[in-house]
Amino acid sequence: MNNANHANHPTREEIVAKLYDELPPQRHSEVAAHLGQCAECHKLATEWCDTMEQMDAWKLPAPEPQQEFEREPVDFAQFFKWALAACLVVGLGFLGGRLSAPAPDAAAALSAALAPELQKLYAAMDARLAEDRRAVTEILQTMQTQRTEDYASLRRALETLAVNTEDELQTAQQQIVQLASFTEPVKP
Amino acid sequence: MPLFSPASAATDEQTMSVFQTTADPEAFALIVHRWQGPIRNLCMRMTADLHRAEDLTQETFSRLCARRREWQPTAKLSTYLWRIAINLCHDENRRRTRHGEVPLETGEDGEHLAHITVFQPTPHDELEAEERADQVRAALQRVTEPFRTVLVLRHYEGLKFREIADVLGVPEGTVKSRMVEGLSQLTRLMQPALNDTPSVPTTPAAWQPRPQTKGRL
Repeated sequence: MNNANHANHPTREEIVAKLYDELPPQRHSEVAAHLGQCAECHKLATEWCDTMEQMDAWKLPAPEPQQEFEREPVDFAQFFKWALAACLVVGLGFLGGRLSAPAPDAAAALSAALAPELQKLYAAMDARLAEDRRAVTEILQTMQTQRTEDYASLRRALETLAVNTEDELQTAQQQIVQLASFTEPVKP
Repeated sequence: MPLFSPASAATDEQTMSVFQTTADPEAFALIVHRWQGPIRNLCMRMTADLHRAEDLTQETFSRLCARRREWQPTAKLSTYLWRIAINLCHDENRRRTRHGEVPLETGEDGEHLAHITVFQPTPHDELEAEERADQVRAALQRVTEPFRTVLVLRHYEGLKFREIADVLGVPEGTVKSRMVEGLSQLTRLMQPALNDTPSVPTTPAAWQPRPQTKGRL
């Protein structure tokens, strides 16, 4: 190491900048040349270089890949299987119903045979309903008559009571007047 | 194809602008789709707790939704999102420190760093790799703020120093200084482990710049 190089020691900031490749090209070459000749700067740069390599030993785990939202493919086979089963059940039900149902001609004959009986039944029901209506009407008329009679009777009783009360009141007034005009006879 | 499908060519800013003016859920979904991974990783690095990171990620997007009016269309959406997430992580870490959930926090000067042993060798290679990852995670949690934030944003999230400066609202030089301090703290914390691992080449070839694979800005 010569004195000229000593005099031209790069700053520590320059050495760091050189290690991280942030020196201008000209200065970079000068510092590199100095480090090759100056033991003191060489030692410092080596230590830092070692430290930088050590720093690289701490590696972070790679982040988990972004899970893009993707629609799951629709399993049409599954849908098709259930649709087929449903169609089968409905078809069998329909077929069973058709096979077990009476023929249209038999239904018409049955309806014609039952018609007279149904007519009798309807007539009997109507007669019974009319009878019930008459009975109810009679009951209501009886109740109304009774109510009118009760009202008249009550009115008569009240009028009799009023007349009697008036007579007794007049009698009492007369007695009060007599009592008030009574004077005790003078003793001899 | 829907306007805001995951394959949409709309930029983050265009999408956010639509969401800001119309509250279109598809636009918001596209933003979440694009950014939940990086935000979750940031929260994970900052808290070293998967469940907290998940919660903080959700909270980040909730705040983005609630504060969409505050976003300036001239600003990068990514900067706005990083800022929200980082603030939430800081709040969460402060809360954990207050409640004693973080056992040890070093001082600003890193005076406790020498006492921390984060290296425990294991016999199996696979376990050893896991152990090394645990050591890095534990050590990183002990790097003090604001240095840890810069370390995470630069090393793990691949933001340029200029972009980190925009997110944090500080000059680029300050970001570089914080990066130097953060790297120095972490080097001291990792020293036992470094002494045990197979020696790495110390030739200039080892100083080749890191490949830029994570930068989205």
